[in-house]
Amino acid sequence: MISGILLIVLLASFAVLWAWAWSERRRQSFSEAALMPLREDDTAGVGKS
Amino acid sequence: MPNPEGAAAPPLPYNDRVVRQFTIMTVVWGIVGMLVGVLIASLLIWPDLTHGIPWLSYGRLRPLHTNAVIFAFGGCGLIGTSYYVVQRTCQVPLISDKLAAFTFWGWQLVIVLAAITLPLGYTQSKEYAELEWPIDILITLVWVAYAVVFFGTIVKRKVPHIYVANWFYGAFIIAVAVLHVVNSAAIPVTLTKSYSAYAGAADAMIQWWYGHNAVGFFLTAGFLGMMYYFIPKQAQRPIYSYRLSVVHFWALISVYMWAGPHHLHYTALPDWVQSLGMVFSLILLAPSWGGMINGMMTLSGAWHKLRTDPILKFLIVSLSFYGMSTFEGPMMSIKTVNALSHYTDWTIGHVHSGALGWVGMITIGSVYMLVPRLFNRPGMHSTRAIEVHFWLTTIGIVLYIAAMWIAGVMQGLMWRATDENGVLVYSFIESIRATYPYYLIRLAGGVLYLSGMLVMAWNVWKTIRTEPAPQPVAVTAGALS
Repeated sequence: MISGILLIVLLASFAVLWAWAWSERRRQSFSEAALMPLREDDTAGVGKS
Repeated sequence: MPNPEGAAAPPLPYNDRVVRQFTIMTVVWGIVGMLVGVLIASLLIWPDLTHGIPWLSYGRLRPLHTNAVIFAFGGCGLIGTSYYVVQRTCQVPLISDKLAAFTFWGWQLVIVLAAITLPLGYTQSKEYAELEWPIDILITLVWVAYAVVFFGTIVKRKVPHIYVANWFYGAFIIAVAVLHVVNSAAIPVTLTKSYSAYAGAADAMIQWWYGHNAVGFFLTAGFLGMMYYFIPKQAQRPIYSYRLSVVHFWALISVYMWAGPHHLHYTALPDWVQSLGMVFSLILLAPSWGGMINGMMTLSGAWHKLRTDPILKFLIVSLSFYGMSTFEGPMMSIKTVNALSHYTDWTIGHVHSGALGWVGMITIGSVYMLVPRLFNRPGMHSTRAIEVHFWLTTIGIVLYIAAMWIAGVMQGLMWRATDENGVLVYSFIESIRATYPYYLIRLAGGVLYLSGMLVMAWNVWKTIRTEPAPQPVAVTAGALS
């Protein structure tokens, strides 16, 4: 019984995660986040110590 | 982003010293660990090679090999790159230079202690967790310090978003802490001897819950963190789908935890636990391939870069091996397939397609990217040598895994063959005799892989020794290719 409920909760949360990740509201911030590795290496510091 | 020159108080420089140390030791321990691998591969062909000296025997050197390549080579690569990535993607230096230095020297001490105690025969006899309890405590201290440095740096980040690579590194750090503490729980008897806190089938289950998640979180999640930073960086394109990376992360870490029982098929473990492990292993194919596709498709529209950039070749071919071994793994977890493959060299082939292919190649590619950046050079000393290294590595892996596949399936078939009276057709020693040619091919593959690492060491040495250009040149990925 409990394991069945847990299974449904986990499957539902997976669907919610998917919907959240694909939602229009996340699109802008995700495409900005994806650019993070492409910034110059040494923007904040000088990168040498 | 604020311009460093324009800011009132100039920002602190990144701590690249500790990254340099870890990066160099990645190459050094890689060579040591793989050399021991070549030695034990030779011992399987020529058992008298080390003249029966106990501390050079197969049983003692084999855990030294696995510990050296996983925790020394892989560990230094992971900790070093995670320090590099977390500073760049959070735009702040590490939270504590002293603590970071402690993680470096502490980790090196663990490795040296392993290299001394394992050949002497001190072991808890748990696979990939052989080290005795005093070293386990030292590992715990270093790991907690590592977690403080990594998460502390994330806490004081200047950008609101935590980049996906840091999520994977973070999961690796937390999961390995939990796994290590639980599985290493033991009752010490003397300084060099202890007994597991668990007994019987429960002990076995905890060991393989640890063992499989060492694969899942140390050898997969950590290196996926590397993948999500270094592949976009070298390809100069953002990751194919950032939202897929979010789903990839949560799906992978939720499913991996349950796959361990597939290491204990047809044992005293309850049958339903074995089936549970098999089902979760099969599900694992989906997030694994989701991640692989995400990394590969990052090159979409820029495939031509593979022709000229051997570093990108390393990074992308590592993903092909990741895809291959994460297909093979679920297949081998199916009980009927496992009945054939278990205890054979097929397992050795499988683990090396993941270790040499995925873990090794993504680390090598990342080190080639890091060295010029860390030592302020326009690029590696020789691009041609990277190309040579790439082909030595690729041919070495293919020889290795093909030999072990054939040997493994052959052993499995020989061990189960019965005549019409139900009597075994082959004795065990006959299967070993039949395996010799494949052991030789495997040794050749290992020697090729090791020679590639020596080419790398030479290239890294020349890159560091070459005087930097008189005019400081901005280091960009374009300058590397």
